[in-house]
Amino acid sequence: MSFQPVLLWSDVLLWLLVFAVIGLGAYSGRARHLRRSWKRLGKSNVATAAATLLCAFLLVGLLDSLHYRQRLPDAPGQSEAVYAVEALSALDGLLSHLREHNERTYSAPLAARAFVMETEETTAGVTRVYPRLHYGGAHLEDESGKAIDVARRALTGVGLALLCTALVAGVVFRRKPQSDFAWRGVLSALLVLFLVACTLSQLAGDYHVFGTDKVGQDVLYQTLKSIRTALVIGLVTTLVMLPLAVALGIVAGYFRGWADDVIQYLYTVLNSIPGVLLIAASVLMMQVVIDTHPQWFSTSAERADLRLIALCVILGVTSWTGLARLLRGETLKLRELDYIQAARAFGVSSVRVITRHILPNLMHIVIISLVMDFSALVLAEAVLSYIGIGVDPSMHSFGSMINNARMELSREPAVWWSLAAAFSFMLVLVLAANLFADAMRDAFDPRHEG
Amino acid sequence: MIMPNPHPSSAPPTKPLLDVRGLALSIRQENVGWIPAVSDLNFTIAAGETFALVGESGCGKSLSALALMRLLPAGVRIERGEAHVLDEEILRLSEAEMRQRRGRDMAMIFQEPATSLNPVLTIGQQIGESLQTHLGERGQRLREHAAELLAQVGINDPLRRLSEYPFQLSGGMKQRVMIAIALASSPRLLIADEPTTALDVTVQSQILDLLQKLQAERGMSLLLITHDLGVVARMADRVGVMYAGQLVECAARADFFSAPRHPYSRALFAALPETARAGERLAALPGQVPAFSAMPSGCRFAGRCGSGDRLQVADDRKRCLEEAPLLEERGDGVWVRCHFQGTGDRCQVADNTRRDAPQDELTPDTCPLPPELAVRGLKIHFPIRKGILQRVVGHVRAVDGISLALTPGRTLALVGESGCGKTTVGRALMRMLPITEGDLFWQGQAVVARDKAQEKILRQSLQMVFQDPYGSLNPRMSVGEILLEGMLALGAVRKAQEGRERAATLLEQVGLKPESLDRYPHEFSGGQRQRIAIARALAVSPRVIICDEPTSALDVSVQAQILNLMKDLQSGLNLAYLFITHNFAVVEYLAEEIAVMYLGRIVESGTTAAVLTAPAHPYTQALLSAVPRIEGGREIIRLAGETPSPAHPPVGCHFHPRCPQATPECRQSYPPSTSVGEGHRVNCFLYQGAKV
Repeated sequence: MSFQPVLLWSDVLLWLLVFAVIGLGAYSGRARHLRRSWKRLGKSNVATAAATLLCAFLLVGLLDSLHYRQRLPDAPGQSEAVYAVEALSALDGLLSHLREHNERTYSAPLAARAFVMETEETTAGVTRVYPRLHYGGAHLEDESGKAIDVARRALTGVGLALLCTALVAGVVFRRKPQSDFAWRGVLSALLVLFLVACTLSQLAGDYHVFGTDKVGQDVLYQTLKSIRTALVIGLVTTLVMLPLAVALGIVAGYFRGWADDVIQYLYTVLNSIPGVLLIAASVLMMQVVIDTHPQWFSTSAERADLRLIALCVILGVTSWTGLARLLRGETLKLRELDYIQAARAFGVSSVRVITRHILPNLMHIVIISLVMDFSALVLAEAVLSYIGIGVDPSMHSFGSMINNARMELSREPAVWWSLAAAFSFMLVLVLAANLFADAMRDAFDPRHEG
Repeated sequence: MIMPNPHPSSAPPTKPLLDVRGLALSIRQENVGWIPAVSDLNFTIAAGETFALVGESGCGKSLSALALMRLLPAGVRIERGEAHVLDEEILRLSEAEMRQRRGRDMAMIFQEPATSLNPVLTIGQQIGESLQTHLGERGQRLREHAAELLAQVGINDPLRRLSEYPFQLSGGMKQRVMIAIALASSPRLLIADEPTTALDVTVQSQILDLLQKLQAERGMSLLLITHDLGVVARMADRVGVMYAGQLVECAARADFFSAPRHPYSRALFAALPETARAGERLAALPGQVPAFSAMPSGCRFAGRCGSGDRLQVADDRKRCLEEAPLLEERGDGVWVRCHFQGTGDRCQVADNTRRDAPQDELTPDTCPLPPELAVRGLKIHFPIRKGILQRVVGHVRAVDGISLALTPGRTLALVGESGCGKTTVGRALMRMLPITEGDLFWQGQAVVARDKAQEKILRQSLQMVFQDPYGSLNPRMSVGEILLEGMLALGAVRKAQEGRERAATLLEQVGLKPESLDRYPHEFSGGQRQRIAIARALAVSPRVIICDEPTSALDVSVQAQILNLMKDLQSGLNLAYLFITHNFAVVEYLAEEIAVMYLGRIVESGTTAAVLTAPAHPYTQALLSAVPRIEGGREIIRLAGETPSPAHPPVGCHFHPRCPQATPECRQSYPPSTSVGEGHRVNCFLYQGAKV
């Protein structure tokens, strides 16, 4: 075999989550009250457009979650296969030219020459010039043709994008034009996606579209790699938080008494500790543990991955309080309703009352707050990485990109592209998540039913 | 446009105060657009007159009133029509102009006094707001005027009340304050939207008295919106009946009550439990009011109309279904919207509404059966805790020593005003609340706490039907799942398939289609939901059903359907009912025995006939007299004040502070139970000497 698959914990969790979401979707397709809500959601153009964008981000993230180690060429006399120490992902494989085309240092977006002057020895003597880049625009004989070349590639990209969108639109409207699903939202989001993707793919082969950073790495590559980190933080954290919040919230609201007192006390205390401080302390402790046990990890990716998971757990443990409080209040209201009383009159057990009567009537709150929390967590990661207690330095994330770009902004002329790329990708991701959450709240809120 | 004549032909024609012509409203519905709701509404109100708009919920009464105040919610708009107040067309006025008219020309009071007052402002501030805007009063003058208004609406010590907040007042007082606010700027027309529906009968009677007094003093006109024909009979000069967004009948009170013309009006009367004799079935209207989105093109009532033999004639039936009738005068200022009715055949009321022959009546005295469930000396006290250590500083004596016995095939009605502890009794019998003291007997055997086997039998034998059909069914479960839940929990069925068959039978038993099993509660109307709730209780074959106001959230015609159903089930399955209610009309119709509760104790009990015809306790007498009756003409015993808190019941007889016949003895000790007839017992000193 030419590669050896590597299972990172975060990969497993991310894929499990995706399957769980698909499973939940299938389940809710059967439950009639949820199906009505999904249908209402499908009628909103904003929701379908946001969902399309989120799916694109998810696709990138999932591609980046299939890790493997490449087999090294056999050394003479070697009997067993030897694999590279570095764990790569499917996305790395697809973007190998981006990953490998490293310059020496900074270069501006679409530049053919470096951003800083270097000393160059020629026959005419020692001169200070902006050297040509190794890869960016290296195919050009004559640099003056760069603008035309870029424009030609961009136009090809736009043309391709229009073609793809038209193709999809054709297929969609051929098959079922009469349903009231908001195809317009999907198609407009697809158009934007195709425009960006096609143009980038046309240009990225021979240019650094978003420039390069201090060590000469392509910023586009970093941005794409950051998407997975953001998704893992946003999704895996909810996996930690959700059982805590749902279980404790319902138990506190349903059983009252001392259980309620203990749980309320717990989250009141947790809430009154400054969140960043708590997270910083936990992250530092965890880092010490990781540093003192190097034998646990066979690759650096595994170490970075454990740190990411630990960060998710810490964020999850500190952020369940809001949802738990919400669910406790709602359960307090629900438990007094007549249908719960009727169930208790039949002698239905507490566990059954909770799973059959209370949980389904809380689902809309859970779904809404999950989607809303997702964007908050992505932003939280950026903040934590910015103050240096976020993900492992070897792992790309929006937060660390912004952190690195901080110093570069003070250069003259400023290096703005790292920051701009991270900012715009994160903005689109969070905005899409927020718009989707809004649309979901409208669709799932029982007060809108009628 | 045809106009009902506002005055009897004998009276001199004067200009009406309010003149509504051809008012039409429409409602916006998602994916449909604007659909007509109220159409072609015409009526007038003369100065000093009371006009009552009557109808079931969803027929457009409240919307019409809000349209007159120009306070329609978003999603409802005025389509056509004019409304003249003192010759001024108000529906075309700008919002700024309208704001001056509100309060000065017309004011409105709403159903729920608890939510109509702002909880963070004092009473004085809320009355002052209106005085300031309309009369420009300030400072001392404003305060005096506000106090004067409070005194007018019968609130004692008005100066102190001005600085109190709404939470310090009882429900009846809040409604008085609402009326004071409405009166602040001396309106010519007061619109009262179900002003007493949320109040107890004795308080309702006080508020209706107050409205009548104020109306007489000020010569104010009153537009009274209600669903209660008893209130109409007591208050109105003229009556308009609305059905599905249309006025179907408009007549003077006397004409309306002596001979209602429209088949719908007749059906409303026939559906009232008090008009039927006990043992007889109520004439329930089939079906329900059509939705605004599915309004029939012909007569809107045609689908439910069972009027006489007219509809059996094919031509006539076709006419009703295809041609919409107009509101036309049928002599003497009576306007009716019907192709056939109202031409003088008045005696039909009795003929076509009583459908079933009276059933054999059980004689109440010969009842050899032992009680299914009995309770003796039941007490339920809730501790009041205070301080950091949550020390118990007192008890709310919600139920304070009552004894009841429920017999198979018979109904015991537990009657009382809100807060008297009747619901608590029901919940305690279901063992949803801990019993502080008292003995429970099941089929003559004492119930032991924590006996697993007995517990299971009791759970199966005792079931409950709740008041609110919207809150008592889980919206996330299908009807089949709801019915199966109890059967599975109690092990009545082993497999879901077996249970489904039984559930389908149950649905047929309560008059629903078996196909409804896979539908969800929101697809059903209030009456149908209550049927499902009854089916759920029946699913485990109980012996006793506790009904906690099962019809009070329903319209009159639907209430009749449910009462009929309950009666059929009782005679078919030999069930014992404990019927908890505040509605005497229902009691009279359904119950064989009655127990009247006041502040956690039963003050009078006996057979329904004995208690209702010859009430002994002064509280029962007052309660009965306060119920608005359509026959009218009864002397009302007016009670002062409202029910005291059960945390601090008065010393001696609980009722003595409000009792018109209280003696010094009543302040000393609680009166013992005295017999005043066969099985008729009362706790009152008045009867102690006179043993029967």
